[in-house]
Amino acid sequence: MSDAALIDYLDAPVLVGDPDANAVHVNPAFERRFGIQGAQSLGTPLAELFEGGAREAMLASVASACERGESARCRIRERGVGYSALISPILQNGEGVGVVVLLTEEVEGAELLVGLRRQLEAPADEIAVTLETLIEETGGRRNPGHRARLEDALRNLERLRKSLDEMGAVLAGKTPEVRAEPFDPARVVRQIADGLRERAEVRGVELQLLAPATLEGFCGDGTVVEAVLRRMVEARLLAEPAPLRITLGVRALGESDGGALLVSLTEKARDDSFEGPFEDPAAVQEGLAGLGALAHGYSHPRLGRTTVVRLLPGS
Amino acid sequence: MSDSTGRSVAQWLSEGLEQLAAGEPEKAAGLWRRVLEVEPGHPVALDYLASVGQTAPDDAEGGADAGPQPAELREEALELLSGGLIDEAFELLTTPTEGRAAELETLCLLELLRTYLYDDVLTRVGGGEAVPVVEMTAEDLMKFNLPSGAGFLISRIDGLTSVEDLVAVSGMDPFEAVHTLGRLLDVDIVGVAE
Repeated sequence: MSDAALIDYLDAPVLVGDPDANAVHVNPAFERRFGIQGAQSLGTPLAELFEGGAREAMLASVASACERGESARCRIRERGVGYSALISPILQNGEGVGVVVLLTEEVEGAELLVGLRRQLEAPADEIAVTLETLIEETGGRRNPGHRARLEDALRNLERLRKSLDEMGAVLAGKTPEVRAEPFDPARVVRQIADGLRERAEVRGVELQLLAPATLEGFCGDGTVVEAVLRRMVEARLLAEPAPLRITLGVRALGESDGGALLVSLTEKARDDSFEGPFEDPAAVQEGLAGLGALAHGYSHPRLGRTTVVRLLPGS
Repeated sequence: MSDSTGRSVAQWLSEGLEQLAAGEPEKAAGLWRRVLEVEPGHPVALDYLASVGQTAPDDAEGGADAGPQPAELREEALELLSGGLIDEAFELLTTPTEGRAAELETLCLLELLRTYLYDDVLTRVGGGEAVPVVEMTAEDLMKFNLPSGAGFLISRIDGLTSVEDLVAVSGMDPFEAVHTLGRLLDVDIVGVAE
């Protein structure tokens, strides 16, 4: 069976062009959906098989794919249907010998999501500027608690922006990148403790930190690690009865542990001992599993209870 | 690589984590052992297994030669704890973890002990703002065969610096610094300023 015959069986519209991006084959799915017969299209520049804005977008993307020798993507709308187009050059010994265009119908609402994402970006930028101004004007050394809360808000905003970027990548048909980059877990737990200290005081809980000044260079997604650990501390602060003290600890395990990191949340009971280990909410457990982290809870009648989280580099 | 059901090594690793989170360490270990069956020596699977106190299938027979098993050590440590020998329990658990990945339940007990010992020293000195002082002359100190960490910490004690600041300026792990200070208090090398 020839390659052309194979793509004729696809439900998705496919076009094949020559090195000059003139159509040499279109599959029946394209003919059916775009109302163009294969014979009519042969020798026509690929972009001219589309109309209006779709033609412009296709022209630019095909030119980009042929020029750079790399796949390009664009989003088009034809006959009321949205398509995501993947334009890939066909290379032989490094030379471009053709181009293939695959059109995938977009899921309902994808365009709306693209629009919403764009609308969210501008207010997020404005909120960031406002928060930074507030930090400068009111959150100086005289009021570290206020500053910590504002910085916490900025970090959450940064998390929102990263999620928006990921959403954009998914909508463009790309796989979002795993954000494994060096971060300082000691700084992360310090930020969590600073950010939650006031809430802990309200609950009558002493929030203690047992962490070195720095543990720079641990590789992983610091944003997700922070979010999961913060939820873990918050869940313990909300427990009934609240513990007398929570010690948030972090340390590097030895070489034998593959450069792993150990985070612990150790609780001291207020009156009697704990009935058992703390059970984290399902969202936390899912977050930990997503990080590839191992977590375990344990309680001792005299020493209290603890949950340890073992993170491997790259989490 | 995958089995007849199409499940891959990555899925077994991931499902194992889910089982562990659901409180099923044995099922988790079973999945991770399956990874080792198709990819012997898979580092992540070995690491996960070690974390739940399990060994790879080939290591199981040689376990006796590898020293006491984590569960045995933990039992021994708990016995020491019940007799009030907290420092001894801590020492017992820290020594054997060198050279191999520590098991999660042992790490839990260690973290409880570290926190307890840390708080105990802070309580004894009167809190992080207390100021430690060296109670011996340099000549007398020479008679002790002090570990390097203890020697360094003593060199930072000037009778003006608080425990909190001492930990910060030492650059040591806070537990190590405070625990070392506790030992120096025990042998009256260091006291607390009035």
